[in-house]
Amino acid sequence: LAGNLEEDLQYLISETGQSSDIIIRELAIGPEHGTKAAVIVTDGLINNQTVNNSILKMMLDPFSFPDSPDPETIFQKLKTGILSVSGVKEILYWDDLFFSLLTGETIILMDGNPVALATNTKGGEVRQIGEPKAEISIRGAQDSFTESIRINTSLVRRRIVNPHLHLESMTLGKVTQTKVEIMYIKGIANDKIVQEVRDRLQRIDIDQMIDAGYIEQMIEDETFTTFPTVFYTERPDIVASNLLEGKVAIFVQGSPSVITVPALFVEFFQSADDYYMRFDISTALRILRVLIFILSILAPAAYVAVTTFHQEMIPTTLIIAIAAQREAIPFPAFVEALVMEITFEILREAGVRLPRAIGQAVSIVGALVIGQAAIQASIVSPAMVIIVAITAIANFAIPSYSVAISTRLIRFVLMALSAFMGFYGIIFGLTIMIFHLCSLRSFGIPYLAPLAPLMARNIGDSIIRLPLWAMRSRPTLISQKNIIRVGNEQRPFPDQSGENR
Amino acid sequence: VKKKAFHLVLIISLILLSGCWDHQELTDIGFVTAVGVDKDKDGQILATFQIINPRNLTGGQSQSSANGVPIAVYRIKADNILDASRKISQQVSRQMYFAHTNLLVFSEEIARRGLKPYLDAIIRSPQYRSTATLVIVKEGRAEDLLSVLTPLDQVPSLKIEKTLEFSNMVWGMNISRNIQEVVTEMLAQGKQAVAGGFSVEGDKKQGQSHKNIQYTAPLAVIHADSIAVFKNDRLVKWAEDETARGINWLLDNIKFTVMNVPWKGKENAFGFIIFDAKTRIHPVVKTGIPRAHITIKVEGTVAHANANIHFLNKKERDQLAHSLEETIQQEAEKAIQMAQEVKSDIFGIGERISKTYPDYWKQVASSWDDVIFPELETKIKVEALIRRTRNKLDVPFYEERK
Repeated sequence: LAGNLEEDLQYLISETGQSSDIIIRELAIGPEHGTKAAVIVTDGLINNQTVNNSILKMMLDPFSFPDSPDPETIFQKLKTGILSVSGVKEILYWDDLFFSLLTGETIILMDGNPVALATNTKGGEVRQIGEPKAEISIRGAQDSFTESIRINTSLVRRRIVNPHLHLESMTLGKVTQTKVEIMYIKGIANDKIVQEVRDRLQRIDIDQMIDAGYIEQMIEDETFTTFPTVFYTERPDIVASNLLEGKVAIFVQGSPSVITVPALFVEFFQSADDYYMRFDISTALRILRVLIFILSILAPAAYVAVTTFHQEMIPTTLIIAIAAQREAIPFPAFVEALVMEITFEILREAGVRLPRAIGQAVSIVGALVIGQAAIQASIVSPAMVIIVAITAIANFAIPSYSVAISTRLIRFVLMALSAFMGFYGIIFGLTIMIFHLCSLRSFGIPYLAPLAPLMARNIGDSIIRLPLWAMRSRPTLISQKNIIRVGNEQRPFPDQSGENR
Repeated sequence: VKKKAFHLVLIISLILLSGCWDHQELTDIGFVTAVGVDKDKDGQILATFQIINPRNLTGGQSQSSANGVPIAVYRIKADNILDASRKISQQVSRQMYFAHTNLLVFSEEIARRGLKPYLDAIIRSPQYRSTATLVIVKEGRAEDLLSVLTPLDQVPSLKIEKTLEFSNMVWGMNISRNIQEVVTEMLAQGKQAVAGGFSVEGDKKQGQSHKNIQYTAPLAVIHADSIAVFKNDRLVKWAEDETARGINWLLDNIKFTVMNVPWKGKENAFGFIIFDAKTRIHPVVKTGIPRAHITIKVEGTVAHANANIHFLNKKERDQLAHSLEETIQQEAEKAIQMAQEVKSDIFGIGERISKTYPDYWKQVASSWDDVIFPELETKIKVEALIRRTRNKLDVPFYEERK
């Protein structure tokens, strides 16, 4: 900073290109209004009330200043005695000044003093906390993350009231200068993993950081896989419970998704409600989800294999019924399956993008085209429609969107394999898939843990869920220290003394 | 790198060197549900293939064409079954697919000459199921049996299979044997094979047309009425009615059946539903003379009473049970007598002896069927227990007024 107000303002205006949302208010302060100063804010990012009441009003009151025209004295008084806002810091360099200005802080420049003041007046309009859109829970909390990083971190803080919940901040994106914060619980999280997250984040060197997805793609362990190796959620309660398992959360300004790492494969089949319901029900639901996953990657492939290679495998009456349906179909089973699957993918993609008003029309057309007309036109068989329908529904039943998407890809690969080699091809594909899953790591943790490597202590929270009092240890590979989270003898029991009978 | 390349070669060869698999669309396959074998005049066989016409099965999607018949029957003269299954392509536009063949039919004529020449091709083939039911047509031809349309089950071969199965279960006078069982029994030492027998009655020509299933009483009826008794691979005897049930008693093959029992000189005075039967054959060799002790334990419920009796009276109840025991014993004896006449140990008594008395068996193995078994002394002991009298505790309703 030059220390000459006019010169400084000139530079600022030229650097910001006279942007209309940068407001410069020049004023005279101090005794007799003898000192020139400027208040600079970015419109829309500030809390107008704070700026007006706590900064401008106070500064313009000449009686609050000491009777000395010395800029240094005025500056110190300004900093310590006048500005009634929470954060005030001194700024010496232009870079810091711009960063503060553009993140909603109010900059105060004074003539004759090469130090600027930045006061925390962040505010402006942000989206209110709403209900979760994709991860709906019946019994659990109904709040979800928004685009504002501070609101997001506060949602988690409210759930874990503990000084050891640490929050580290950094700025990523050379152009966008996006605020990224990592959150973990000191003493539960594995320090090595925290350090690894820090390192990976600091290595990122790209222009923009628009969404958490950019982080995922820059820090994931393996790019060439269809399986997600970081976990996203829009639910603060899931982040909180993941932190308590020793994981690390990454918040990104402007993204309503929060990343937690390391991610395990089983995690994508768990929903928040699993922990809020009793264990028998959630175990049953988790097993159901495994079935759903298998169904959703295998159903069309198995249909193709069975109808074109292994006709001996299904009961006579069933194969005859299928044969009767396929009698008039001109395509091979694989083409038929492909046509239907692609039609459905088109419908789904259209359904996601379409405005709500038109969406309904599309779904009606889709239902008629898929369900009725295609059959009557003898292009596909009813059995195929059943297969596609059950696959589609199964796909929507997978709790995690990122796994649901990857199953769609795997499904097509398996379909192609089964068209060439029948069940042999399917088994081949599944074997490769399992090999691949075994080879994956998420921040050094085996992706298939606790199933492979098998860890008896953690199997209680994988595809089954034991009663809460029986899930005594945190995921041992992730946390590694401070493992026990449930006390001894926590199983509830009725009063044995008989006094209340 | 070299190692990786080697692994890659291994993986690729996994794909290329795998066993037989073949891509066949459903529309290119003719599902053969039954194969029949008849003797033709000049030493050749006449093979009959019952093929499903899926489009004509109601429940299929094209209801409009459901007036066609659900099956097509093709016949071809050939030297053997393998020949026939390929030669039939002259007549059928589709590849014959035998994995859903659940019925293998031989005519009596063929069975009397021996089944060995025909069974090998079937057992050897990877497509044929060894669990397909094997049936002999009594006094008739396989082509007739396979040509008859049946009203309840649209696929006649399924009807035959299911008829055998259920009749065996609730009535007990016939038997359901699949290829595997028949072949095992033919190969076994000291045991002979049995198989289900079927016959066609009525107008065989009309039975082939759609008309047959448009009448309430079908014009041609196929029914399971006997058990084919084999010696080695040749049919030697048809066992019917009580004798047939006697065989099932001794084979421990009765699940449910109905027994009519006389009472004080009155025929068919009581009807029993037998719901639990257990037979044990216990061979004994004493001083070089084999004997078979047979115990049959049955439990039954009185399902029909046509004589005055007080079930609450233990003495009368015991008498009735004894009468039931005698009836069963007679049936079993009939069966043994029949088997001894044709010198065919279908009950596997020899097999049991070979396990209990291996040394003795070595001496008699060669003469068992023809010399020892026909003269074998058997002792049958039946233990009957009357469990319930159904909804009526005591006398028949018309006795109550007095």
